[in-house]
Amino acid sequence: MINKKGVLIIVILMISILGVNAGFFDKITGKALEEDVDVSITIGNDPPVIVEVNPPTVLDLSEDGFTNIGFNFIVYDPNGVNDLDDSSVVGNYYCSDNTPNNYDTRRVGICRVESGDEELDGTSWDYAGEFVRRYSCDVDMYYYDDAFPKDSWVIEIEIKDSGNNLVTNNEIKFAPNEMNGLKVDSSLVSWTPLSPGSIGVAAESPIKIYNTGNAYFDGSSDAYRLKITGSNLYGVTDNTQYIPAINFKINNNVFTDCATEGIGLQNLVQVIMPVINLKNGDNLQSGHAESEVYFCLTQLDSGLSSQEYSTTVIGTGETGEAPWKIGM
Amino acid sequence: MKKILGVIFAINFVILGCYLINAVAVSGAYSNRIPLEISPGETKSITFVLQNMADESDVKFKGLISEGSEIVQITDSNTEYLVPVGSNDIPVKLSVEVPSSAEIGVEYQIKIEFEPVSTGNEDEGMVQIMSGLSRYFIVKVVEKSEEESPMTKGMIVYIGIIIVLLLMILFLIFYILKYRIGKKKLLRK
Repeated sequence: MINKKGVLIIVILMISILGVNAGFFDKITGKALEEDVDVSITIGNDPPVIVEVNPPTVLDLSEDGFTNIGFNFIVYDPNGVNDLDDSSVVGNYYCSDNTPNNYDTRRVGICRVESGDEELDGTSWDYAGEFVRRYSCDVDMYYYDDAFPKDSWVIEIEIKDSGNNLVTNNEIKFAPNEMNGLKVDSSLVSWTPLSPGSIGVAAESPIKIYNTGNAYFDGSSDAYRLKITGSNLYGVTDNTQYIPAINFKINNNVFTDCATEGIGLQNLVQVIMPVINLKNGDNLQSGHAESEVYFCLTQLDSGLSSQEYSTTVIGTGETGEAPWKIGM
Repeated sequence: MKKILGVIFAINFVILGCYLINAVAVSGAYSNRIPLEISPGETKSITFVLQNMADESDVKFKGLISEGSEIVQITDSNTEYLVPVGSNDIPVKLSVEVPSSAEIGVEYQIKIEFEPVSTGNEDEGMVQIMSGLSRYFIVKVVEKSEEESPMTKGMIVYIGIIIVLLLMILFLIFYILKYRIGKKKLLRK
């Protein structure tokens, strides 16, 4: 008798497992029992479902401008694609964390039906054509849109059907690539008149630099600092005379004391400004994404002859022209 | 007095000569803030893109790896890159290969420098100022990730169910046999 009970328990357990996993054993069939049922039919409109979101694949922004960073998504409507309200489609990006900056990060897209619905037939979706529609969205992103933190941009999708059923999706995230961009405007630099033997003369105006990318140059490491390579200025008529690069200093603030402030340039050696704060942002707005580099001539040797001095002159012992280089 | 004026003009000329606007950019997926993760012995190809969208003339760069050249190489045959004005898609291809002996967690600091090269079209001036670029990124050694395919979990569940069913069938057979043997013994008695 005990044995029969054991057998019975095992059989029940097996049937239970098979029942739970009936999806796996689809061939389990059986004749339905006949019974009277009350039938009620509600005529309604099942909401569409956003079944797939494909984030952008091209993630390079365009320097100092904007570029289309588009995406696409697929919607399934059990009532057929003609039930979808194409005009209701929303496809935007917004940045969920732009701690360093505080600009408006919503990027509004323009969406459309990508192509004929039949394109998907027999590939991704067996029921494509009648029930599935792919939309693509063009979204302009700006050169200063943050690349960090990773996956900080949210793809925001909305669509309605003819029954005004709204479905949304904001689960997919991404971030554009980090871009180091720099624009140098050195047109404003000028010096007060100098004479041989002059000491500690700051330039009247600085070089302006603009952040034309989305990297935040906060001085946190060499990767996010300004770098300048100087070189000697040799005499145009007598190239044995020169103004050494080490006689020039740079600073991120106005020089009040050239002797103690700033960092000296070196001949053909890159020097790094340890402190700089050049946020990414709209550099057309005054004070945004721009910084200044101030120059100071620490001294002008009293023995210099009257001639022009230039980096375009190859000095004695030098192998070629050596322009000054400024970069990030 | 003449000497002094000469130097005055010279210095003024020096500074006023550098009136140009330089603008360049480099873009890519990896940086010091977003490291490239790679496992020991693995090789990855990555690309950075040079741009010249805000300048007024073509620029040319010489690319070189100044830090981390033991694991990173520029794979382009010509490492001088002409970036025409208005272009934002000049690729710089790199290969990153971490030795199989690399320890997990080790980070390599990589620095690519793009030194400006004269195109012969620079503005005249006593001091030429050219924009250079450098791009840093970190290569982080991580354990090899074994991506689980979407089917794997389902397969594990079904395999588990089949094992349980087989065990139950075995128990069932065992009970039946035991029952029959017991019955036979009773009949013999």
